[in-house]
Amino acid sequence: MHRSMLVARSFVLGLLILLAPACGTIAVQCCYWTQDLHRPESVRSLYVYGGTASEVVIAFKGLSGDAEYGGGESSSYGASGCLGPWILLDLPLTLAADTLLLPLCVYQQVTAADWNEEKFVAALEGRDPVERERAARALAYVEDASERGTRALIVALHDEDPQVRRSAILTLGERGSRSSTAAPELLTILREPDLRYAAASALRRIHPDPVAVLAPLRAAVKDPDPAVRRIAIGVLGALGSAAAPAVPELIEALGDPDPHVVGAAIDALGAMGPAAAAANDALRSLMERDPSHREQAERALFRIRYGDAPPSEPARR
Amino acid sequence: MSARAGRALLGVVAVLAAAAGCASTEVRRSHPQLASKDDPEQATVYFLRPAVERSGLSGVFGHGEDPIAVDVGGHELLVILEGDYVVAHLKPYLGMVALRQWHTIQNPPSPGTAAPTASTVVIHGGRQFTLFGRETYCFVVHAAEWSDGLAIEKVERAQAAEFASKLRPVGDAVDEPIRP
Repeated sequence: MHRSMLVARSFVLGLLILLAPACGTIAVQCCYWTQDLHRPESVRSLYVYGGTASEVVIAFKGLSGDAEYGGGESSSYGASGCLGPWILLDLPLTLAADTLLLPLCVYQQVTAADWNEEKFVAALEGRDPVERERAARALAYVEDASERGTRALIVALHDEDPQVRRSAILTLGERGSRSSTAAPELLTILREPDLRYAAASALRRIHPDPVAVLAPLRAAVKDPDPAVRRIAIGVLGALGSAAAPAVPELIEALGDPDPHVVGAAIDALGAMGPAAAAANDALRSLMERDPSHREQAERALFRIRYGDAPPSEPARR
Repeated sequence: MSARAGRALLGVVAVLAAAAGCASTEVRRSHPQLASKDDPEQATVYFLRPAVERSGLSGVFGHGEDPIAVDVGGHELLVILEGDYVVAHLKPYLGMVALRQWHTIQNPPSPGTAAPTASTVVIHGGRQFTLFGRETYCFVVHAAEWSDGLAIEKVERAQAAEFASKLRPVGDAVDEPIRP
């Protein structure tokens, strides 16, 4: 065969391999590009828009794409198991492409990433609810979180879009004690069935000033809704010994008709440690009359007597 | 006997002695949760392991005869054999009391194999307990009835004393037997 013919055939064959739908890397990269994820602006916001670090690994999905096609299962790329021979040829190319693309992808994300709180605060005031929701999520990850961001998130708690509100609640929780000024607003959400658990979780994480939240939480322990009572008790427990003024309400809650409220009250008293010593008799009485809560009450009594420091040793193999 | 054969024999004796040591009921004196007997805030804890009657099939079925290790706070507190009971004085404790047992399964030789094979499995059990100072607790460890695992349960002292009358006290339990 003529040498130029051989080269031409090799070139065509190589091109076919690269263009074959079985080429995992190309298929995945096409997906990547059609979603505009290659643009610097998008790369910058991968983290914000739910990409996180998993998008970095996207380059390596070429190999797994090959494996999927080779297994004979249809995929979202429309390929099927009849491509076996192509896949065998494609595997080394995919491996090489993946190896080259991963560092590129990492480089792009590292250099283009820009976490600017001001930008997200501005987006939180925009018209598009999707952008507002994304901005609310992004504010959880800015390093130099300021009071301005917290204020913007507190305003977002009243957004007309429930997803924006949920993201704002979760982000306030993520920002921890930097969101402590949001406690009064979060407390008002405890009565909303769709958002109350997110709000309770955030309240536990932001370490609110006990003086600011004790009164409303003590009132919530007597709420007609058992879910509100239970959640409020859980938040009191998270305050630890700082919630000691609420011990009388918690002792009263040990007689609640809802067993979940009783369980929450037992745990909250235990979490307060020696500060809840006034509840000892009530807990012993509960152990005698209610076998279903006996072990839980016993654990609470232990924590009240000894606190959480050793000798209570949770170490496990 | 040559020096080499002597060393080999010594090694075999050492291994056998070590194996014999592992297979006795014993409280690990270095356990971090152990308290002095004179400490007023210690919990007195008895561990009992009743013997199980087997109809002449000892060593054939199940894992009943192998030693059981009791872990407290993630560290091995004691090893107990069937038919024994022991006492340990512990600091107040809230957490897992876990059980472990190594059981060697002998597989008979199948056609084409030269020798029987053996494999070791670890059987687990346990639950969370609360041990207050100045209190006495009695725990019975045994094979779980409806599973392949192990079980530990707290019993009243009177019941424990009844069990103990048929068991052999080991270690400090000789001087501190369970009294109803």
